[in-house]
Amino acid sequence: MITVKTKKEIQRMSKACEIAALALKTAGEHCEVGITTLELDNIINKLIVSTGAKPSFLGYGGFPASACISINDEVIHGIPSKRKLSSGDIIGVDVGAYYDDFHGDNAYTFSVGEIDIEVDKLLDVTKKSLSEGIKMAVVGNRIGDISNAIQMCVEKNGFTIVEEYVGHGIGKKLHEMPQIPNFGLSGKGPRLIEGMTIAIEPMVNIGSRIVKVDKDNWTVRTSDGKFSAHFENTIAITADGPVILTKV
Amino acid sequence: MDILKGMVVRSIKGHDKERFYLVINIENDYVFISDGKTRRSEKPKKKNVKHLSKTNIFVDKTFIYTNKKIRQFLWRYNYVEEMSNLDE
Repeated sequence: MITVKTKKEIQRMSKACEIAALALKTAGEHCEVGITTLELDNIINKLIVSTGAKPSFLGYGGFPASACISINDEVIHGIPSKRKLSSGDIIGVDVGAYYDDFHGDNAYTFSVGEIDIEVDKLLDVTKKSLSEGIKMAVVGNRIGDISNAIQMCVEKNGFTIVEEYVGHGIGKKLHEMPQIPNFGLSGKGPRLIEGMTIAIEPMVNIGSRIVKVDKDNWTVRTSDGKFSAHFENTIAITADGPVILTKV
Repeated sequence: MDILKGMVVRSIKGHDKERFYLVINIENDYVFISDGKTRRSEKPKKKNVKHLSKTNIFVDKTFIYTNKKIRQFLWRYNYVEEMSNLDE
């Protein structure tokens, strides 16, 4: 069931989103050569807890950390570890915060030091595909319009879309209906109405779109070992157009 | 995250490789999957967990597992394959 939020509820939810965005921004400021992903997770945890919020992902389905941190060929759901970041790495950080009964969810792929030109293009295109998807998140459109905008942007640039993992509705629960695939046909799927809050999150690969899950049962990585990027924002559908709630 | 009832999964082994299905039952290491079409809900395909790829796509808790509902839900994930079959 798709839940529609009142303006007041969206206002409350925007606080959780701001905290998630602030945690992500702070993590980005620390993404430097030599830091471990576990240290980054601690920074994120401390920041979220200091605001009175809770990390949405900690314990969710048994996930053992506050943030999903995925390096290079890891697509999503990477578990923070003692692995140190090196120059040329890209690091996808996915952070959620739960505050005043609502969740906020966002992700960004940061680069560490000097990265390859193709990887740089991957980051640009994935980020652009997210903004193309957000542009279509207007009252009266359908989920398929968002999906199709993302797919077109990615495929015309020669990259591939991960199909197994999709965006989602968000609110009092971290994952609500509707699901928002990053591929699909325009004009299909549920219609967007005022008050819906959704998380749009394209996951884009340089090589094959096929992914596999590690033995830890969480980390999703590309099957060919090529790099993958992930960007995400929580959006409110309003009469005045899409509003990005995960903004600092 | 484990494979759960109501999760959409993707076949990664067998002649149906890459097709999306819905998990309608789980018994030990085997899951029973249906797409409401080639594998109908009354006779789901028994598949080893190792031959399936997980997703973060789920049906609602109130979902009724009829073939029509399953087909409708999976259409947007399987349509590329189904369209290419029509072209052949």
